[in-house]
Amino acid sequence: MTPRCAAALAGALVLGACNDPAIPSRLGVNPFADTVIIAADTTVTLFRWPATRLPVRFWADPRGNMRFLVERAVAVWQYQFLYGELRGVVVSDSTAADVLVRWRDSVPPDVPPDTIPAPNSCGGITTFDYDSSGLALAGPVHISLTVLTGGSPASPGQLQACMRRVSIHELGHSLGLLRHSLFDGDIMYGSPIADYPSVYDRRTVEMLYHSQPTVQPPPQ
Amino acid sequence: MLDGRTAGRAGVTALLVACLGLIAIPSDPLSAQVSVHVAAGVRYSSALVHDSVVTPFDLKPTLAPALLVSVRDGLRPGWSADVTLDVAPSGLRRQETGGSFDVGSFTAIAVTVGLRRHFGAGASARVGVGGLRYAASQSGVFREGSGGIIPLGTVAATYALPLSFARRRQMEIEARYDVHQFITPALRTEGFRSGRPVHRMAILLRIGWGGGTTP
Repeated sequence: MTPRCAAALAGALVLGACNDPAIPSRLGVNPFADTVIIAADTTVTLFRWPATRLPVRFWADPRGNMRFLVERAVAVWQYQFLYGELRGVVVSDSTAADVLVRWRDSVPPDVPPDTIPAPNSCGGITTFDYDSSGLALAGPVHISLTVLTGGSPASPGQLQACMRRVSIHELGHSLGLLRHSLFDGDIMYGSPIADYPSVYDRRTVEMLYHSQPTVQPPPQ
Repeated sequence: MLDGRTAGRAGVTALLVACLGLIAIPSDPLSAQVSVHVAAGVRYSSALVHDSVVTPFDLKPTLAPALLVSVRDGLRPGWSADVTLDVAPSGLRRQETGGSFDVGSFTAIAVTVGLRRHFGAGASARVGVGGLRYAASQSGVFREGSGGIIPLGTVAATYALPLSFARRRQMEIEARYDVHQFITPALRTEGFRSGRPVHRMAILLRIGWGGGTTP
């Protein structure tokens, strides 16, 4: 009786755990992972940091709270990945960095962010330097964040909130999300009003980091 | 309402409780002899996650050390029961076409209760059940936590080495298999609806103290 009982139990344990779960469908990927170079050969440019180049090394302008903004943005993007596809680190030596993040002109005050949005109070730009072949980067990616002065004046808190959004947005470009989303709920929308990446941002960067790149990173 | 999987799990649990109830009450409680055993070895684990984003890939633990501590109590002749703590630190790798990449680490901690049947010539077999918890930093599949304690079933075959020094140390070699279903809150958020069965196999060398001769 007892051996039979034990054998039945063992059998039940094994048989009860044999079903593989279905792989989830991943709908809703925005087509902004790549940028198409409109050339005669219709080359598709797709860039991402390969696993062999992780962690991506970010250098932050030492002025103001740039280091905080970059560390926060790196953490936000890392959090989007389930399977360790991206790791980033902030380094203090700009000559050993893959991505350089600077203030373009004035340094905004480091104050708590204001929840009332002023989306166009700041901006950013990310620049890639391609080598002559166009199939590899020649040097580090450059990001500059800037205080915009043309529109309605923003409070220091509104400016800080804007910088938090834009730093995530620009780091998204540096990871390979080269295009803008058409949807304002996405952090990769042209003038971001979302505070964090949406599910569509996440699905898109996830797909990018499982795709075959056509552009290689710069030499180390 | 119970779904099929929950009902199946409840059935296994009920079967185990019934088995334990039949056996775990010793015919003569005073004859019980407690011994402590420590085992160390190496463990292989099947993939925790199989997924596909553009191309298929697996998230798989590395071959890892395993350390077990058991308290064993002799029951009726030929039977013993034990409580075992099983700790296994492991690396985690993403295996996909074109390579295998380090994506972190975790420690799997399991506590099981088991029944062991002792046969002749130093051989014994164990069946057990318990709970397993993954301890890991909050990133990747563990970014929303580990999901708590996961039910675990285990079977093992043990052989006591027939050498004099080995007998003095109660030295045994054990092949251990266990199975559990792996899923985390982050995987549920991603769209996985059920856990993936994870099969683990370990080869262990065990030594023991106390308990006198093997019952």
